[in-house]
Amino acid sequence: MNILVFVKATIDRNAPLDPDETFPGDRDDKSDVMTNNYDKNAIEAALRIIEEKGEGKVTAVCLGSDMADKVVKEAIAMGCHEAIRIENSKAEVTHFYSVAKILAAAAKKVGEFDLLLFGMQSYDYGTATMAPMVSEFLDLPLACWVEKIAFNDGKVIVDKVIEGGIRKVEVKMPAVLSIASSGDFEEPRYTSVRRIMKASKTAVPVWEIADLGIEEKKPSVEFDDIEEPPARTEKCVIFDDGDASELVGELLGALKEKGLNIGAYK
Amino acid sequence: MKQLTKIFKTLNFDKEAQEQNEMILDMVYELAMNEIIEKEQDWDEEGAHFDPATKKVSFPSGMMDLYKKCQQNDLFSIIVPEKYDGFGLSYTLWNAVIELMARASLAFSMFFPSQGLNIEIINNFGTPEAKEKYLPLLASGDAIGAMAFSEPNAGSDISAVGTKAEKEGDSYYLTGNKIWLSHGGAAGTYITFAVTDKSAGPKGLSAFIVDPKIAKENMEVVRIEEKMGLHGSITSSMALDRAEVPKENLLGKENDGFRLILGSLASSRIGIAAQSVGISETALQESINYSMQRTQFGRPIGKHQAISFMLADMATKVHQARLLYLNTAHMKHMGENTQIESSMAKYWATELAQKVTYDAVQIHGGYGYSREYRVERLFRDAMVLTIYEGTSEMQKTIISRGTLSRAQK
Amino acid sequence: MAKILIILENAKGKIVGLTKECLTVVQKLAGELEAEVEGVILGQDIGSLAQEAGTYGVKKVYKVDDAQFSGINILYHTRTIEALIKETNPTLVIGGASLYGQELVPRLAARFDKAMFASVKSLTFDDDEYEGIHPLFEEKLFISMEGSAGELTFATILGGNNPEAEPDDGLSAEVVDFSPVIQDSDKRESFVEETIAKVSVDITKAKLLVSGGRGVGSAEKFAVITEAAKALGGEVGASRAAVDAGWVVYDHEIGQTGKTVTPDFYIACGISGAIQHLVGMRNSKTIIVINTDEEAPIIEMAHYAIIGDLHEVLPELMKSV
Repeated sequence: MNILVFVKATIDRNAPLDPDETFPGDRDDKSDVMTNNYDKNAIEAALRIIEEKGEGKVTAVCLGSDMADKVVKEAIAMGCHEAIRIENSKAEVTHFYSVAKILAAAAKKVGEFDLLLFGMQSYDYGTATMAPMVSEFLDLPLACWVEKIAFNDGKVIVDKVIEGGIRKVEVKMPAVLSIASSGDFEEPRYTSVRRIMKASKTAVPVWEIADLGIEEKKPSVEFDDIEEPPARTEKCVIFDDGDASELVGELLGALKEKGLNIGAYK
Repeated sequence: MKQLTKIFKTLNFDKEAQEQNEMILDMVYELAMNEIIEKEQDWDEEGAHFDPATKKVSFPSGMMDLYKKCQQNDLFSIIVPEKYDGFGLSYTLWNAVIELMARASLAFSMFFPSQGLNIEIINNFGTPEAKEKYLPLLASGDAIGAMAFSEPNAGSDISAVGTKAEKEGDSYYLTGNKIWLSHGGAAGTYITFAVTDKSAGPKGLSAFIVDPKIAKENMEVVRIEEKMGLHGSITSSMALDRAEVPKENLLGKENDGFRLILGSLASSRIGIAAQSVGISETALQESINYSMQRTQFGRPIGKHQAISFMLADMATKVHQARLLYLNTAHMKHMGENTQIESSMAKYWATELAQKVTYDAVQIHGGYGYSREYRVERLFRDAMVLTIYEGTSEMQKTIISRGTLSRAQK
Repeated sequence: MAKILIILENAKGKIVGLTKECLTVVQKLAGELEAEVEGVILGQDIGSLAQEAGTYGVKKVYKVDDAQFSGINILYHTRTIEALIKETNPTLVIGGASLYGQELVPRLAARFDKAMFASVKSLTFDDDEYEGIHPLFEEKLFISMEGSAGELTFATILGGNNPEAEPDDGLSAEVVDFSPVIQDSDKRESFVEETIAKVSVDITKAKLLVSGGRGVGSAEKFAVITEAAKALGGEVGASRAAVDAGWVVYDHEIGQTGKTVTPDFYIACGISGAIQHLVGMRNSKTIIVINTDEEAPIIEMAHYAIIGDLHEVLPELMKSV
């Protein structure tokens, strides 16, 4: 069983946000960068599949600048056997359509695989387009929001999240799956000292986009300005002083002052 | 976290080691901040347990699950030599790990300094058999390492130990009482002293590894302490009644225990300094968050100079204490004797932790006195720091003796 | 003439709420573009839904009513809609950014080798270009996307940003049967089964919701939420955490994988406010938070917050109102 897991470097949750620096390559402090947390669920799924099968290989694939090195190393330190980074410093490909083309081409270059795994979305751009677009570019079947995985005779049987329940579908391999952050893979493993030591000694090959043979095409929809949401004019009124009955009294007083009647539906 | 990694960048680690350090610290930070911190309040409220009928101790709910995660992540093997299933990494990193753990929970961080001291003492003074047997167990965390130094009549004055060891055949048999044992009853190795030559005073003490699997029912927990803070950690009194210790578990030479242990304590003092910085950092962060939210007289209290200057003082001193413990740990990593510097770091950082947690309570006002807020626990927990592993007064004694002798040279 | 094709998502015998939100966006765009609105609906026994779509201003509905579509197979849907697009030449294809839409529409766009307006909260037309606004970093920033209206365009619309379109009984659609198009390679995916919780209440219409999350503590303790909802004349809501813990059934779930609600009063109890929950309730008119944690993210979008134990505050609230 050969599995490719696609991992993405994003701005760290705890790093300050800047509309002009939304990609890791825009930053120069490594601690501003993290592995997209949803991708860790995908790594967990890949590693579990291999552990249960008792054979196989997991390769992490990452499109990113050298700021993404730590993400690639983290994937190995979680347990991935190998990793590939596709250099993206000069070209600065950031659009999901173009990224999907590159990732599809990279998978083709790797050649042998049974499953391509993605996190269900990214923390930064969150378009959740990568798995469906890559599957289409490679003409592979797809299942998104996967919570549970089983195998049967060249097929993967998955439980996927749908509104209000679970849908079970059977997909012929090779296939593309996006892994939900709930369900069997909800808690991705940590790195460990042992695997970190291994990761720091593992050389990660760096591929160039130019070598992937992609026909250049401008995306039909392009990114434009990034803006902060308008500041809320109205701030939350907080009641935190007093016992429960005083707090409720203050709330009801404030509602009344605004002409809001919470008792209207009794 | 940035404060810590920035300091690491100034140390003489090569590129590969820097990368390893950063990845390990990232992992520990995630574990501490995502999981351990969530349980900290529950552990304080529930406390450790002791069942007098079975003489068994247990940790509060969920603590062992997180201990297991530390095992899975190989955290206890950081300073163990590679020969014994460890990674032979630096004391600098080890102590930074202790700081991060203590940021989340001082009670949980207790697993680390004593583990480190067990590892170091056994590695330096253990027989080849003891090293083969115990170091891998301590590295994996399958054995929790404990220290059994204090006795009812021997606190800071270790030489007053009353426990005696009688040699019969290939074993020693230890009889006496030990108190203030962190993890006592739950540990896999206990490092302790006993008198082997009654006439020789401190020079008649020997150090041993007591293995509860060998000592069996001849070593048992008498009770656990009800403490002011650190409720989640087990602190036991234990009785040894002809507890067997095979001669392979003697540390160093017979009657040389006092010198050997005293020389090793410097190491764990760095760990206590690291714990102190961890708890101080949390008290500082809690204070910053609170003072940016709490509004009085029309603006956040953090914007009032009285509070903002207090925060500036706290931040500066925490940084200073962090430099002190990391520098001492790194000196040790470089093979220097850090007897005096360890005491300085311990003295300075622990006193600071009390001051910072006190200030944090003060900044929180009435809420700081309430159990609902974290700073109340931090304050109670911090009280132990200037007491265990040698009181501040003991540290000052060591420091003054050391500096005076230096002056004479 | 410009033509908009809307994918009419249906589940449990209904056109889903998000599709009705999309219809609001579509009606507005149709006016600006002077476009014809057509829809496609896929499933089994969906004749009445195809008719219903007409009341929302869809002029022509292509109905794919077939036993092979009783369960959803994304490859069948992609192939059939691809064939429909090729046959009818719409200029804009729109679907909801539901779990279904986010799987189907990007795949469809890629099949036509197009980028798309992915998960936008609004889609507008100006000066021969579309503009869509997409949230970044869990809505801490927003990016605008632009694309020429001159070529085939795909878009998915995020829930909770537009009101549902109101039906107009005076309107109706021409319903046209469209035959399924399925190739052998599409059989690489096959539907096995679906388990969906039965719907007993519809919380989307409630004027007041008392909603509980992880902070409620247990199934037994969740009773206080139910009591408070009853006492105040509202319905019970819940975060996914409470539903996953089994304290309350799925019908009450609010958020990305649940319902989108906009009541007059939303009382969030013990809900910290993961973005997945916030997207389902943030347009409520008055949001009241009861939480012990004054740093809970939900407070940022609340109008009023009581910092305290919900098990003490709710009984007081019931007494006082």
